[in-house]
Amino acid sequence: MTLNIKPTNSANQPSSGALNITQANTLNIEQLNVQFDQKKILQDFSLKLNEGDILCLLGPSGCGKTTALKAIAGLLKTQTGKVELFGKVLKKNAFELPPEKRDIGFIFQDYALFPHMTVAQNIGFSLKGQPSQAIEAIIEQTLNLVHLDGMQSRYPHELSGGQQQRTAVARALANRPKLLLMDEPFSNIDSQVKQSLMSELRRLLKSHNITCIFVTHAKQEAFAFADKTALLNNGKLVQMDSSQNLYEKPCEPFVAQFMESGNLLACQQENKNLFKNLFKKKLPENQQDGFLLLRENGFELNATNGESVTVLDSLYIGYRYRNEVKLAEQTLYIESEHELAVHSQVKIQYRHVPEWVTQP
Amino acid sequence: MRSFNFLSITSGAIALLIFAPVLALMYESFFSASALNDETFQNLAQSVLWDYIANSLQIVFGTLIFACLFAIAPAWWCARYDFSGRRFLQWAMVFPLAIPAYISAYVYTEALDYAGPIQTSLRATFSWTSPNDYWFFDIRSITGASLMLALALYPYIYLLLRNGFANQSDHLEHAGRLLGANERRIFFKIRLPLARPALAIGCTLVAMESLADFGTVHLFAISTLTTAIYDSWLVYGSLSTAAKISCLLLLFVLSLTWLERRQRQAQKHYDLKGSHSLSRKAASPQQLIIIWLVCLSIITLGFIIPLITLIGYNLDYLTENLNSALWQHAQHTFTLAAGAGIICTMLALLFNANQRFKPKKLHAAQQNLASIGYAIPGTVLAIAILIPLGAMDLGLNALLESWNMDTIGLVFSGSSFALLMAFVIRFTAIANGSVHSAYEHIPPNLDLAARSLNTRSWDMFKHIHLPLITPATVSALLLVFIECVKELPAAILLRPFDFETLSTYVYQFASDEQLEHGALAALLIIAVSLIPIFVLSRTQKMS
Amino acid sequence: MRILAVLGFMAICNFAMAETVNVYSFRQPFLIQPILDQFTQETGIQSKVIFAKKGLIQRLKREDKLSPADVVLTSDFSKLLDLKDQGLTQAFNDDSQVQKNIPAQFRDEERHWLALTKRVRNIYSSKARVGKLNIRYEDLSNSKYKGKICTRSGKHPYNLGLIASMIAHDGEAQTEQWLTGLKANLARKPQGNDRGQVKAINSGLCDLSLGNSYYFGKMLMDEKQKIWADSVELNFPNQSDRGAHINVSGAVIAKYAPHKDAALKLLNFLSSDKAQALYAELNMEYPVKPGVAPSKMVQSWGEFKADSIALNQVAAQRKTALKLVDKVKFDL
Repeated sequence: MTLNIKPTNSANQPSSGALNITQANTLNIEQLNVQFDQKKILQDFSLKLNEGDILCLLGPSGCGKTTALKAIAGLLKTQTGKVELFGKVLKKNAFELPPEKRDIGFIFQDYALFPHMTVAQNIGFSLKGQPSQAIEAIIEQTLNLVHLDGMQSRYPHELSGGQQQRTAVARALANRPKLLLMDEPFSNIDSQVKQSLMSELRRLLKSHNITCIFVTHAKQEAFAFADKTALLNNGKLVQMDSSQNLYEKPCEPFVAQFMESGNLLACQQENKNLFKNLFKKKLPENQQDGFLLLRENGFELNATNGESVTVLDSLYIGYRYRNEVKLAEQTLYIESEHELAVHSQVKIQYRHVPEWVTQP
Repeated sequence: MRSFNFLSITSGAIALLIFAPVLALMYESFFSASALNDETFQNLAQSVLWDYIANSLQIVFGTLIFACLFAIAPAWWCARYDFSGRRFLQWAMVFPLAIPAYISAYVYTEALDYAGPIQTSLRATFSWTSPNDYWFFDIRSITGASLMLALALYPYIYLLLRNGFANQSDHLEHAGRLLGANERRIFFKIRLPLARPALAIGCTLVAMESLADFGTVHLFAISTLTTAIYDSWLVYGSLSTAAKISCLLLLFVLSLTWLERRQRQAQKHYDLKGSHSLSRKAASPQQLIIIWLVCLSIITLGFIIPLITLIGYNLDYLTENLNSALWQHAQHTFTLAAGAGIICTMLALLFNANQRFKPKKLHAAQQNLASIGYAIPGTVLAIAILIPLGAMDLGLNALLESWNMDTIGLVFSGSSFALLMAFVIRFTAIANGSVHSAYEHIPPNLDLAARSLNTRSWDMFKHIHLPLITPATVSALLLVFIECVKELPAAILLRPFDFETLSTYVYQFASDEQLEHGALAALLIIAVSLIPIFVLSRTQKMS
Repeated sequence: MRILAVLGFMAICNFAMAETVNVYSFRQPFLIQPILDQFTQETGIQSKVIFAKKGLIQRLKREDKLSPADVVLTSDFSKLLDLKDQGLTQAFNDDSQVQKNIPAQFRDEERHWLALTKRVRNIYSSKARVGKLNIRYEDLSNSKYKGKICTRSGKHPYNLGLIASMIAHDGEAQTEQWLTGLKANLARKPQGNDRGQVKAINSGLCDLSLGNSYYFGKMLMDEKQKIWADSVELNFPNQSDRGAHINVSGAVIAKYAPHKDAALKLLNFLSSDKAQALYAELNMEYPVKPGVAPSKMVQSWGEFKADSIALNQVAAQRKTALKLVDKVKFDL
């Protein structure tokens, strides 16, 4: 059953038992198309999202993930399709609600803080028309929320990267958006502090039940930040699921490759028993040509019945080694506890039932 | 590295040399014998000095207002909108820069004066007989002079602002939109404030130029600080008074420079990393008409009318204007300007190479010192140069005499050397700016790579830096050349007496109310001034 | 240093090639070139003219003994006296032709300068609106001329000369009052040159203007400007009392003249009948040499009474005049 996850309706799949299926969709995107000069940037993009969910749009650069984000925000011209947010139509075919009326918050990759305004002025930008005391109160609250108390009168260039990001978040949240969009929000953050920033921001969003979509090309960020991940390739949504399912049960070889889930062993229908010594357990049934997905840490070394491989290289990756080995014509990566001698022969066997991945 | 000690010392000495006239100026105005008992200055201070200051400031503010009016909207349109003919229009808006303000001033005085065709035909139509019968804009006024200066100077603001707008990130607009702001609010709250440093830099440039203007105000008989310097020296014969007023003017200019530097600092913070250039919007038909109408009228006022008038003069007086004197003056001017261009460019290379090989605060300071020259108004600079050069001449000749040699006359102050020096002091900053920004585009790692390949400094300069900065060097040469051809206030005071530059030649005729005879020379200046605009427009198109 | 010396030597050679006389001229080259050409024809001495409206005295001062100047030609008397006062001149020989040619009142007692031509500071009036006037300079401050007078800058030597003569005659206080009144009567801020004022009368901007006499003739001879001249009358002021203010153009020999002989020859020539007649004919000025008649056209303007006050008496008031111009903010 896990093998036929269809990307388009995956939001309805109870992949993690906590999801409430009866809850109304917060965000509903149907068949959205974007093209520039005959070039299709986004094709039949559809997804549904529930309130409080954090979705990661993942994909290689140029896959259209930022375009999708901007299309939702109304920052670029879209062709056909429909976008609804809490039942409000943001776009339906030719109708486009201007971005300032969409109740969407957006964090840009460069944060797009107004450099000529202080932190407080940036945050208060959307709050015009209210009494100044109320505005000040909101600014103070929001600053407190992102732990930037006392930074009111700083200018963006006087802030660190993390502080700039939190200011951008505060500015977006002050406007009480129904949906928060973030374009590569962590790409400008030092890897040292990235982890703590991400968990801090995630706690903040969760505690306020803020629905959020963010874009990244790094799967670690998806793991660390998102409830669900949607993988895009060439303008098409390939698979949307929990990060775990995406990683462990990729619906097509591209997903496995991008997520670096493990070794993809090409298998033709007729020769699938080629390496029968490699597998401890019985292989799943399949009707077509495809790939077997073998995790790198799923191998038993020096198994007596194993398949013999030649070690090409052995690299330390923290408490273990990652070995490049040659199995007939194919190259595999397997983990081992100890360093393996290069050129040595090792017998290996896969402990688990491998996932069967077919080309769509 | 040791070979570059020589470089450091040379560039330091030159930076000081460039600054020396300013020191001489201060000495002359406060410490020299005639300065201590300066009756002329006291008389001036008691009578008209304040009027001069007021006039100068009024001209500056008037010019700024008009220049902003001419510059801001077109800069926005050309940066933001896409419309047919934009490529042409955005460069055509710079053409008025080629027309010296005093030439426009002359042309418009002829047209708008009481005796000019417009007022005459108005009188004929409405049968007015005297100036008391009606009101008409008096072109020979502070407002008129400001207008003329603004027509010639607004391209500075326009160019900087257009660039400022074009470099603004789309993200900021998007962020603003998503935070609920409409187009109007975004323009006034985000776009314009962000362009403020560019606007301020443009405005300080225009303010400096209008403060230093001599030709236009002198033609319009408006007494300002520059004409006061000129008069103090040449009518009252008091060098120390001229030096004192020069110091006063310098004070104004230096405060403007200080303001400009501060804005450049601000600009740095506004250039956020990862920002993209502004995307263009297609203009609607109504917008298209307004854009063309407004821009074209500005270009007509600032460029086409003066140009056509000059061409008209030329057709009437062509044979007279083709006389040999003009070609001799042109040859003098071009030789001098080329000389100054080469020297300025070499100095710029020297300063920048020095700063590159030995990045020190001291060297940056030298560069700054040398760059102040541009801020010194030509009239002030002329007075400042005369002081030390006169002393050098006397010293040199006394020395020669003591060796029983023939004296050689005023080789420094009485020859084109003085003018060359003035040009070099004023315009090294231009060459420096051009070369400096080119140098900043060479990544420092390139130098390290070359060093790791055992390249000596000189070879690195010759084989790596020079090829990379050649376009900037050429444009530095060109820009200095043109500024020298156009320069009036210093040339008018410093030129050797049997020597005219094209601009003093033209100005002589303009002040004698016979510009007809100088029209060909004026056209020559304009043609030369147009060169960098075309060059710039071509290089920009490529990039 | 050696290079400089060589360069300098070449510069000297340039000057020394043929016999030359270097002229610093406050007068426009085209005014004097025909006369200098005549001089070259007669003597074979080349002339080299350096022209500047302003700044020649400052230049001579700076050049000091290095100056290449032999002769300085001025367009007004105060410059002549300035040059002498500042020690920039030298005396010409007692027995020179100049002494015989020029009457004593038009040359320096110590033979440091001589006048070459006379010019009158006239009051031009509109033919149509005012007609010929019997007017005094003093009348120009009369409020009946409010908004009707045009003039060039008060700091121009011609006006300074007139103001200085007013001080010499009427005293400083009264002249200040007069100047204030005159400023109040101006139709526009002082600007342009003397011809420009006549042009303004022609166009109806004002009725009266101050201008030198020879400009009238010059305008009559110019195709375009004849219309302006035809619209005005030339009035000789103060005919009922002291006479019209006279200014002179003149010449000095520079103190360190490298070619003193040639300079003297030039002065002799300039004061000769031939040159004086040329001045009269070409420039419409009044020759100073007795017996040389003004041009026919100038004669047609009629006889007039000239102010006979000594030039150095007027020149003594020049600084005061300049001070007054600033004090009443005449040009502002």
